[in-house]
Formats: sequence, structure tokens, C-alpha cells
Amino acid sequence: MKRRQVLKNIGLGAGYVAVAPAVFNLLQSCKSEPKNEWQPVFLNVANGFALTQVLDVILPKSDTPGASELNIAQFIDSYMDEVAGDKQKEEFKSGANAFALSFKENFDKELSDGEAEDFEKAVAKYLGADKETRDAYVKRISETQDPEAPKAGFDAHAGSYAYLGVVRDLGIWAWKNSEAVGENVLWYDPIPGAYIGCLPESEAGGGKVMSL
Amino acid sequence: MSSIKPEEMYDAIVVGTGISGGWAAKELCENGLKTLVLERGRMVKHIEDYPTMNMDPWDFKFKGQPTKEEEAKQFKQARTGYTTNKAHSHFFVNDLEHPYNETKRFDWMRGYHVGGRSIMWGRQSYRLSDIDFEANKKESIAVDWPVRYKDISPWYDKVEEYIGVSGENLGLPQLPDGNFGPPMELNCVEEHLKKNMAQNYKDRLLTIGRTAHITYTDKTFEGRSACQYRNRCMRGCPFGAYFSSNSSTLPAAERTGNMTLRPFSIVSEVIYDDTTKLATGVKVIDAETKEEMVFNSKIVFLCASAIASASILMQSKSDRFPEGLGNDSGELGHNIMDHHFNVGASAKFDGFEDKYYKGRRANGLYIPRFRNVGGDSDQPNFKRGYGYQGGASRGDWTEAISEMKYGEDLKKAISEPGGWTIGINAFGECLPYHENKMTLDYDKVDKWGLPTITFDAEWKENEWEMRKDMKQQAADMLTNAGFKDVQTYDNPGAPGLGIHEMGTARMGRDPKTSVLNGNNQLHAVPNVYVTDGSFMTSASCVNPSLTYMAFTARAANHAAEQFKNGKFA
Repeated sequence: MKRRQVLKNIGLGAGYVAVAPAVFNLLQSCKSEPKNEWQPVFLNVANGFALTQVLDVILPKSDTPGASELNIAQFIDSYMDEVAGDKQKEEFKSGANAFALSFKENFDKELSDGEAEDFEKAVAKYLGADKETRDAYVKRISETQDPEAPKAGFDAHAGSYAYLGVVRDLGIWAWKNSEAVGENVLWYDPIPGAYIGCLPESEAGGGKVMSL
Repeated sequence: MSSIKPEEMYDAIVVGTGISGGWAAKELCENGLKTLVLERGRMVKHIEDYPTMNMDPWDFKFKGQPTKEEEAKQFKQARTGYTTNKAHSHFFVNDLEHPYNETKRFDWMRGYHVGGRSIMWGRQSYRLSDIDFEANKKESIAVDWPVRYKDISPWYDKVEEYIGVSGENLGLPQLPDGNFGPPMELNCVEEHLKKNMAQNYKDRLLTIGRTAHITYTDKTFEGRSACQYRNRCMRGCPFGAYFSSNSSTLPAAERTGNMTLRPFSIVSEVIYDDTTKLATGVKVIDAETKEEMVFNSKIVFLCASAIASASILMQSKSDRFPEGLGNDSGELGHNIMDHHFNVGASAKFDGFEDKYYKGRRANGLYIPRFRNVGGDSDQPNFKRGYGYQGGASRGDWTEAISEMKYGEDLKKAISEPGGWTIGINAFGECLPYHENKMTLDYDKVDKWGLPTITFDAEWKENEWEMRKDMKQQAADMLTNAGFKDVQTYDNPGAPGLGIHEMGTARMGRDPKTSVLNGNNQLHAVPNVYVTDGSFMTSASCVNPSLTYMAFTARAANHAAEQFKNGKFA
């Protein structure tokens, strides 16, 4: 029975492994539907809602587009469904569950009841942590890496840190490769016509990175 | 077999339309020979059939990443890590439809369509030298090349002149000069390494890669124009800026009015006539209808790629040639070589933070071979040598994010060019080993009932010893030039991954130990020429396509002369 399944090791990104009980899918499925206008295809509804929220903290709207208006959460959800390998899928799902658990612990509420400011605080707590704390998360995660005999048990905080790191990496990739950003925010130069090897930045993109 | 219709009689048949087949077609047609060009895959017309050539990352569903379902159909092609990107995955085969067997892992990367791999090739274009042509003889390895540099040099001239190669002449004995258009530029950090190497080393230098792109401003190429630095070459180029069969040789052959191009034509055998001791044509299976047919000709050029051409010869069994056409030596299908690579170093550079570059140069730096080229360069632990290809660039955001964390600061950081990084990757020569071979498995046939190929090849001690030096020298050069965080890597992969497979029907002076003579003719059947990578007697360490083109052009002109003199009547 899934509910009684032993703790499972999961890896998130290069060398990042977190552990999360598999019961969270079941826990989440018992709750009321969150106020979320899209139906994820890979994540459950609550984790999909949380993904949208944290992406808007990581890549907020300003004078350049934010994650929501580029549908980056939907993109990542479909990516996990159609592109990711089995291991990556499992890790991502477990990471999302770790985040749900730490959210509950931090704010004493379910994801679906979370307000924007809660997600802001959650991202600040993990991605905004100082170097010492981040290093401790990484150490904690790597201690669980041995699938046969993890030296450490499940830690929702370290797992949340790892999960948000993966969300950030995928989010950056999707953001930079979106049309609105690629054509209007970054240096879009589809037909350069020449290669000039060494130019002052002022004459080469004006401080913007090439989008293609 | 039904009687031969007159329209199925040709002066010459060319099997394959890749980099060699295109050249054979052009040269034979321009010599006035009525030529049938057979291609096993679909038609790809220049520009018209490059569906992704102008697509940006956001025009692909997953920015170009294949879905798991898509990748499952190309599970072997995917071994390179780049071939299955949706930008060009349609130019690589479906592994489910085109299976092969591996006694030892072999990465057979290929595309079945008009133009073959001339569409997706790396375009690096270097000449072999007499250090290469004489090496086997000097070291008593395999057999001697029946050719020396002076024999092939005029054909290199002709090919470079026609295809357009940009690069820099250096006067090196191990890397002969050529007929080049203006070299592309190095960037600031590459220039820095070049200057430091000139100070630190007497035995080696750094140059820009020699690449088959038009950089001329004062010379025109029919139907082609100069490189626009988009770096989307593998998708097919709307400017025809780099050389491919589709942009260049096939249109040239077409213009003569002498070419008949037939796609979806799988050649299963070359037909041999024991009374004339010549080939009379080829057997073909229509890839779509599976209909079998025969086409007749006075000359057959096999340009189907090293593995496929050897396979066709092995399938061409007769009483005279029970082990495959022209295989008196027993060397057919043996001596498979590739280049071993994916060993080198990468590093960061502190400085030039206010400098950037414009354009996406589909080329990189090149450090020509400096080992075993005479004098102090000779190495105790390995024979032959290697060159480095690489480049420096800006644009990685991974460093920025751990400190910028999230939010507006992060968005700003990822919108700006990151720090400079450099990578240099060595490409080494692989020795010819008789036991590195391919065989046919008649118990496992493909959907056309043809035997599948089984590979049994591996790197050996000379390659492993060379790799140690490839890694060490890469790290030393970068360290000595002041680069930071120098990291070495060594991912040997398996033969095939360099996509330079060659040597399966080697040239030689003696019919007892080689398959082809110095004109690329089968020793025993002189109207059959094999001019793809099959003929290579040794691998050199340089990218081989330019050499295939030069030998093909030479062989085609030889064949045309023989034909005109009535030798194949």
C-alpha cells in the first residue's frame, strides 16, 4: 500500500537528493480544490498551484514579463509529463510534496490556502537562505543519497530547498527561451551577418546577453 | 529478372548522395556521363526541405527538446546528446526502423535522405599530410597508403576552391596549407590563449578552425552566399553558406542534364559478371513499395558511407566472390576506425568582463597536432597524434543565480552576459586494427529483408595512452595561460560517436591485404569505385570529409577517363 511505503530516496538535479514520504499524493488528494485556474497534467492541483506561486516569486513581473504571463508553470508541468525521464519525474513529484510538507509546517496551512505572501516567505526561507544554511541543506540532502542506507532521514526543509532550486533552473530556462523575453528583453539578433570577436559591450548588445 | 529497359542503362551509377556521392555525381555528370544517383531515403531539396531553418527556441514545443516518446524512436541516435534535438532530429534515422547489433557498443549516427550527413556535418576541413600517408609504412602498422600528398594535393585545391573553406595558412608540415577564404575571427579570450601559447610553447600554436563556410567577399558561388553567423547549420542553411550536397554538388550535377536522381532506392547488391570481370549494375529495393529492380551501368560508385558501402559489398556474393564483392583479401568490413574524442579541459577566465562578441560563429579555435611529428615531439607511450577544437564564450548564468537567488535581481543577472568560459576538446587518431570489424547478421533482417550489421570494435592501448596526454596537455595549456578553475574530463564513449567511421574497405598496394587500389577501384573489379570513408587506410587525426571529397573527385575523373578510353566497355 502506498500509504505505508517506506521512505524513498529522491534526487533533484546534479547531486541533490531529498527524501519524501510517498503519502503526500494521497494527503493532497483528500483536500479541497485550490483556487487555481489551470489543471496540471503532471502535478496534482495543489502542487500545480504552488508551482505557479513560487515561480512568480522567483521570476516576478516587472518592466519585463513574469513567470505567470509566460505560463511557465504550465510549461514545466507539461515538460515533466512529456520530456522528463522516469527518475526526473519521480524526483520532481517528490520534491513538490516535500515543499507541501514544509509549507504546512512553516505556515500551518495547506498549499491551497496559501496566500502570495506565504509563498514569498517560503521562497525567501529556502532560496534566500544565507550560505551557511544553504550548505547545510546541501549536506543534509547528500547524506540521503545512498539508496541502500541513507545516513539521514527525510527532511522537508532540505527537500524544499532542492525542489525550489530545480524549479528555478527550469524557470530560468523557460523564461529565457520564451518569445517575449527572447525577442524583447534579451539581445535578439537572428541574422547577425558577421562575427566580430571582441567588442565593447556597449557595441554588442548594450549589456544584454544574446538570446539565441 | 525482367529485361532491362533502355532508360535503365546508365554510364555510371552513384550509390549515396552525401558528401562523397554528391561529388561523384557532379564530376561524372560534368564529364558527360549519364549518371543515375541512388539515395535510400527521402528527397531533401535545398532550402525548400529545411523545415526548422528559421525557427527560434520558442517555436518548438519544448524549446527543441524531444519528448520521451520521440526520443524512444531514436534511442541510439540520442547517444551523442545533440542529434535528437527537434531542430534537426528529422535528419537522423529512426532506430526502430533501422536497427543494428552491437557485440561491443558502436554509435552509428546517420541520416537517410538526399544529402545524407553533408547537411548535418561539422564542416571542419583539414588536409591530410605526408606524415599521415607515410605513418603506416614507417611504423609497420596495417598497410601502406598507395597515395602520397602530391597525388591528392591538386584535388584538395579543386575541392576547397569549389566548396569554399575559410581558414588560415600556417606552413605546418603536419597540416598542409590550402586554398582558403578569409579566416573567421577569434574572440578576446581565444586571442589571449593564442598569445600565451606563443610565449609558452615552441611546438604548438592556436588558429581559427578551417571550416567549409563562404567568407569570401570577392568570389561568387552559384546559388550560395556568405555565412550570416546564425549557427543553425545542422538544420540546413537558407543562405547555402556552408557546403552540402544539396546546396552545391547535386545542383551542379543537375545543371548538366546528365543526372537522374532516384530517392527511396535501397541498393542491396552490386551485380558482377564473371565473363567480363566487371560489375554490370546494382540491385535496388524501392524503400516505399519494396519492389525489386535492376539498374545497369558501366561504372558503379559506392558512396553510401563506410558502413553501408561495406555492407553492400558484403551482400554482393557470387561464385567468384563468396565473401563479398572484391573481398579477396578478407579485409572487407575490418579495420573500422573513428576519431576518439571528448577528452580535454574547460576553465574560466577572469577578465574581459566589458568585452563581448557579435554573431554566433559556427566554428571554433583549432590547435593542430603537435605530437609525433618529428624531432622532440615524438612520444614514448603512443603513436600518432591529436588536435584540439574548442572555443571561449560568455553567457552562462549558473554562477550568478546562487547569489542573486530570486526575484528582480535574478532576472537582471540572467539577462546579462555571464563570465567567460573556455573548453578545448581533443580529437585523436585511432589506429587501424584488423579485429575492429562489422559483420552481417542474416538471421536478423530489416524490414526490407536485408541483413543487419553487427559491430565489434573498441579503442585499444594506443588510444588509451594518447588520451592521458590529450587531457594533461589541455589542462597545462589553460593553466599556463592564466585560466581559473581548470577542470579536465575524459568521456571515451565508444567508436562511432565521432561520426567519422571509416576504413572498412581500405586502400593498399597489394590485393592480398587491401580492398581498393590507389584510385579507389576494387582491385579485382575495376569499374567499382568506393570513395566514402571506407577507403581510409589510416585515420589521421583531422576531420575527414575534405579528404573524402578530394579522393572522390580524383576517382570520378579517373573513372571518366577510363570510360572514355573504352576500358569498361
